[in-house]
Amino acid sequence: MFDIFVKIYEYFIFFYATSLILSYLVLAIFSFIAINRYKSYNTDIDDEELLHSDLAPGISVIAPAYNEEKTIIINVKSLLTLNYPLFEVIIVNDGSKDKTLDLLIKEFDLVEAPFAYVEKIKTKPYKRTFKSTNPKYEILTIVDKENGGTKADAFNAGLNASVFPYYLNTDVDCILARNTLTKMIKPILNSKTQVIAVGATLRMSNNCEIEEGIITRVRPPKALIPRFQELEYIRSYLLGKMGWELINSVPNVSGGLGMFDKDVAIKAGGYGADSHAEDMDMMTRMAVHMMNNRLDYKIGYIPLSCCWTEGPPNISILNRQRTRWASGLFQMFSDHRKVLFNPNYKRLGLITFPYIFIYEFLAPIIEAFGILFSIFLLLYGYVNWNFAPLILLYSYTFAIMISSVVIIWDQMTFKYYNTTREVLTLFLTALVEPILYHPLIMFFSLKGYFSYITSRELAWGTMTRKGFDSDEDKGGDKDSSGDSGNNTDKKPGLFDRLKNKKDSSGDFEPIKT
Amino acid sequence: MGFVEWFLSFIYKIKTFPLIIQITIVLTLFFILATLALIITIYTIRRRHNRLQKILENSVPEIVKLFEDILFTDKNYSEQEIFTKFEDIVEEVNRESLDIAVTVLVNFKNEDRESEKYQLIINALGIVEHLENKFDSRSNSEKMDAFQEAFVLDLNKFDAKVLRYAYSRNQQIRSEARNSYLALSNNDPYRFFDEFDRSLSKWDEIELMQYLRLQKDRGNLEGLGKWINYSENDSLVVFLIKMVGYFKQRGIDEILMEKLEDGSELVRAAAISTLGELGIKETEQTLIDRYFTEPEICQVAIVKAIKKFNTGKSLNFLQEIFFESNNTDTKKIIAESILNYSYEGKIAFQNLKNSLSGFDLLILQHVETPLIKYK
Repeated sequence: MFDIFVKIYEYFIFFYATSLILSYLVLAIFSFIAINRYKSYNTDIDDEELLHSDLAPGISVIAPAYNEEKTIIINVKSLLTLNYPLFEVIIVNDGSKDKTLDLLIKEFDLVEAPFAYVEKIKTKPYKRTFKSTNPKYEILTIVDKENGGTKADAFNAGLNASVFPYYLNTDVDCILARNTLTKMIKPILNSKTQVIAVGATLRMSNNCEIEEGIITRVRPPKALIPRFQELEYIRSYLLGKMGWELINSVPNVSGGLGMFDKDVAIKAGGYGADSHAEDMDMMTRMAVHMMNNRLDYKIGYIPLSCCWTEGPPNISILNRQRTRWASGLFQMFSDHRKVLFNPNYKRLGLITFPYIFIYEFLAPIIEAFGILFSIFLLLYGYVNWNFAPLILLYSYTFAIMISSVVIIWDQMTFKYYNTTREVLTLFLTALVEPILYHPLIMFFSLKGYFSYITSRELAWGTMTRKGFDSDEDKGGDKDSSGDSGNNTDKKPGLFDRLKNKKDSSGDFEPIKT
Repeated sequence: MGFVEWFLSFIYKIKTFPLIIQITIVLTLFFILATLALIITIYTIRRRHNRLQKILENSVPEIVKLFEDILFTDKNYSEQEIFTKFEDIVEEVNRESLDIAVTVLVNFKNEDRESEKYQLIINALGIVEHLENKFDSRSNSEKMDAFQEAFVLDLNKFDAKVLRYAYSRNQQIRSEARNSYLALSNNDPYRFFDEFDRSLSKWDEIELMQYLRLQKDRGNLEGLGKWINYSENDSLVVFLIKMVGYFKQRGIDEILMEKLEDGSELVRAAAISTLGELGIKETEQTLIDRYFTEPEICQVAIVKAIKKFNTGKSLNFLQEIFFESNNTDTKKIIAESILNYSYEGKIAFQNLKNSLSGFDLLILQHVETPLIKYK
């Protein structure tokens, strides 16, 4: 009986891994086509055309800030240097407990302005709006509100205060390329089908040179953890999302950098205020809204890196970040479970959601079970030592190959690194990533699922910033000082939440059939 | 045991393995070989890139200096001199070096650095032939570059080439060719206006507007208004009506009045806005009469048109609709119109401020404060 179980298990793992590998290969081909298509039909001359055009649509750049005193000034300056003919920058101070607001007021000569704020999307109470008396910063708006506990709530307040038809959501810890807006609006302008969102690649800013909020030299991070993350990001964006873009099935536009159609975002109910995966949650809401109303839509992606963010410099901070992401993923599948395997939601329900569920959500669980089972087999002498190393080598060589493909795609798109050595550094990182980094991610994901099920507190902004001024400045642990008091209400458990969902439809739009 | 013997025995051994393991081994070997191939490719790409960077680093400042000398000083160069000096810098005048030259010239143009001697460089280096080769290239990316570079460098010698792609099966190339034809043709620039089979994308509009600006500079814009009546494509009609307003094309008042009765609210809204842009004040009362029966998009256009007319006759109407509107965004637009509606408007605005309270008062303060740039 046990032998049969082991046999079935072996076959399951083999086919699971092989189907995952095949899906990656398909995505690699798709992304190659999508990148080439993008490169063929988009030129830098387009940027110039757009910059000189009176028809360029307005864009609101929205960035929430919670206890960001270390980097807020340089980051807001970075946002103000964006090159686009018509845009505003909205910083939402989400009840920061540090000097974030004071620093902003002092640096940008802010005064309270009479602002007709309309709560199109419900948020925690709005307090006031600040505008600059310095004409240099006339496009800057600071919205001050009570802490909502999640980034989503802050984004919603920014949406309420924005005036333009499109908005770019970003984090205040992100440094954007100056041409971000011209590059990201292009898929919206170029399509005859309504484009509801556009994403672009994010990278790590840890070892980059930054002057006055502008990236002047891109390098792969020196420290191992952010370098792993750099590789992971490039793989996820260039291979994953660009591949999905070809078949209009992009599952998620990153919260760090995404451009959205404001009207659709508001009609879809805005960001789920209690969501910790606000980006994927928003994308799903918007797609569901479009399908419910039988409207054609597209989600675009561009292969350019437009955003640099500070990656977790150590395991402890990586742990917090990934735990929150995993918890958010669990929450997302819980909130939008009606979409999963639902043919009414077409590609979203039958391809994108099932793929993310099987290969991203379940993967850590299957892997963890696999490790435990292998230990068990090892202890009881069931391991076939002739074949086990072959299977491990199979997965390992595939991981290396796919990372090499991604490095080529990256080089094909734009050569951000100056030297061949820096590119090879990334390749060497790929050699150790499956052994050192991947197990950590698996563990933190499981921790995140556990946290969600047991209703542990997860507040937004759990990343500890070192700041861009000095590499030596380690900074304080914002999470321990600030976030502990962030959400004082005890969150209900998973089963309570599921029950509540059943009782009321909540703010999730049900399918109309 | 030699390697060959070991290898053969290994192959023989593999045959005895279960099928799954056999597949695993084959795939693993494939992954290893593919990785090696990819590393070599990465190295090749980087090597080529580094070589190009070196060329650019050395030659671009020299090329910029040479072109600046030719274009923006009084010095006289012959075509042969230009060619020789350019060749001295780049060592070989080929596709790569000509691309660099074109990029430098395009940058000058984009920086609005005007000179009458661009044509001299273009002739000397054979840039027309270079762009012709790019048009003929199999790469779509090259073709797209050629379309745009020809436009920026103001080279209207490519009618025939562009025409060839105006019926391309590739939708992007077809669209780019048709749009470019407007800029690159001297004889019949509007040829494709009646062949737009689908709605225009916003990018089409941006490109067409840019090309129309060029036609305006050439004095060829007069015929634009007639296409409003000829075209049955709503999105093109909306765009053309907007452009008539933008370029202040007179003499089509009747067509615009007709379009006020159009079935599409987008067409009506565009017509109303253009009446405002053109300052056709006789239509003010007609627009007011229509206000309460129109959808919001047209109502907003009417308010903006009245603001543009600035006759001072419709102050009561603006005040009335300010009180009646329930939409904050519309209210802001109406309040802004009142504030900027002649001297009487300013007084009425102050009176409103004195009489209102709560959120309505906040809207007025919002509109009035100069600190808020985008209302």
